[in-house]
Amino acid sequence: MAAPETTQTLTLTSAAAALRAGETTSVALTTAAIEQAEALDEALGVYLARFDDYALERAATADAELAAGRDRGPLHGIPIGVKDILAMAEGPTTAQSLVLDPTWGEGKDAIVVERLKAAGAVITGKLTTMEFACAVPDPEKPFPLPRNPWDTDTWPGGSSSGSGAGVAAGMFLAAVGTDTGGSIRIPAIFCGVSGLMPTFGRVPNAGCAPLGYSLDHIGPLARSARDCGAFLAAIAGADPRDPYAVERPVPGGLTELPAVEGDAPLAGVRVGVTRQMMADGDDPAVAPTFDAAVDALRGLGAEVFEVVIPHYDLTITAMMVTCMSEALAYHMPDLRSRPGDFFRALREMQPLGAAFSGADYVQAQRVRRVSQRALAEVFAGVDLIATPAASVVSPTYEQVLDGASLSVLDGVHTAYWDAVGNPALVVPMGFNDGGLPLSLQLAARPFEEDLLVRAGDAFQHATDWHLRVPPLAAEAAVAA
Amino acid sequence: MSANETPPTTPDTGALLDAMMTAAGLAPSESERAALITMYEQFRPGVEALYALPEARYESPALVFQAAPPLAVWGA
Repeated sequence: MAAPETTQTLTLTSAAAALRAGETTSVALTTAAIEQAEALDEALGVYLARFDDYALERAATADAELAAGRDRGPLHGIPIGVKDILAMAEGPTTAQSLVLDPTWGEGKDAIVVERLKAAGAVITGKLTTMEFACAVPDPEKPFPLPRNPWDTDTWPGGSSSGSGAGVAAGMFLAAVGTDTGGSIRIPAIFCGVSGLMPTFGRVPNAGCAPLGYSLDHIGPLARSARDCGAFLAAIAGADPRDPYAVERPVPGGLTELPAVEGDAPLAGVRVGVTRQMMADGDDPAVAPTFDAAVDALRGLGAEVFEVVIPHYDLTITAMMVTCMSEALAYHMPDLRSRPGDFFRALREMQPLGAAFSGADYVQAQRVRRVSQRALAEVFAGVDLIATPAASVVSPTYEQVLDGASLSVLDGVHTAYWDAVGNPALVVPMGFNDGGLPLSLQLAARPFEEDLLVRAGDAFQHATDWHLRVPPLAAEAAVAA
Repeated sequence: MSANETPPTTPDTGALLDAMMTAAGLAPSESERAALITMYEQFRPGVEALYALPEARYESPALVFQAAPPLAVWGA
């Protein structure tokens, strides 16, 4: 008999299949997730609040419902975590900040949390983030410093830090993250898991503390692209309580993704490849690892072309002007009256929004439109764009806290896609010489997340980087 | 400075930032002010470059005002 699988080695979708095959139960999965948290959370700082009793009750309900033939879909009975900038009735929302009014969202569920509950997900707790989903940690403030399971001297990335570290460590099988300049994808990259930023407007944001109103995306982190697709299908769709959410059908390919078959599952898919963001100081493993990932896509039948992403640097500047301006509008009263309660990184960055004029903000929106137009022309010739997701690996805490708040993110290549609104998926593609994960990034036309998931799934059929387990987590692994 | 003199092309960033922070009602500490000056000097050329993009000259901004938006309120 094979060794029992653990929350470390199971993917969300394989766990869903195991539940339906009677090979495990939601209570067993949830118990294993809780025990993994017991073993590792002190070292990793994944949780701000755990809902163990609530989760076990939900798991028992899920088991009973499934036994009675009531199947709510692939998230039914699956332990997941929620980033603590989304409101959830079972506990307070802090946004990992002393500043957020504790009555905000009290007793309420964000729309995404409502949908996760309706899908039967077992929410195990609220997860660490960067303050208001921005910048880097502050050891002076009374919150855990999240650690990367691959090397606890390093940062798991942000802002969805607990989401990335917890999935990598098997403390849940998937998690909600948010992405304004890369905050789903950065922790996914640094922690060696998959992360999907949906198209802007695909998932309603109401009930989530804002960072940049026109940039914020809620989406999943999980072990595989297939998991991310199933998760996205459960949380996508318009809602009248969110003015940004868009009424577009959720592609059936997210939940009914067929198994990868044949030698060329990506035949007919045109992939544009660019290395324009790479530079001399990159980790030396990035270039060969990315080349190997592109070769893998080619080997799966994709046609590969060289492309250039238009207005790359300018669009990132437009994103920064937009984010700082929109964030300052939200934080201005508190920055005036109680600045010392903010993390140091926000105090050193957020006021810069006041140095941009209204005209600067509008011009940034004009540049975003120009970039969308030019990018659509590129996407007329290709179906996906592939880049290295980052040219760096998880930085040490010494680097993160040295005072240059955002410099550790200089080699991360995520922000362009927030500015234009296209969906982007990151999937693990290897490791550097120090054993830290590296990732491939794929971007698609707006609302074509199904193609992203299909391509990511095919890539993960040909590779097993997404199934690698951090040694620290493997040692603690509990059978489900 | 006489009327014929050209104003300095490189303004005192610190003074400029101080004025903008004061106008916004913000009072960064000395270390925060230093960090903000560094970031401002890094960002400002990029912001000026936003205006130099020819394709943006007659482009409409990615802003849409809806006269009849959905008015349901989350959490109400």
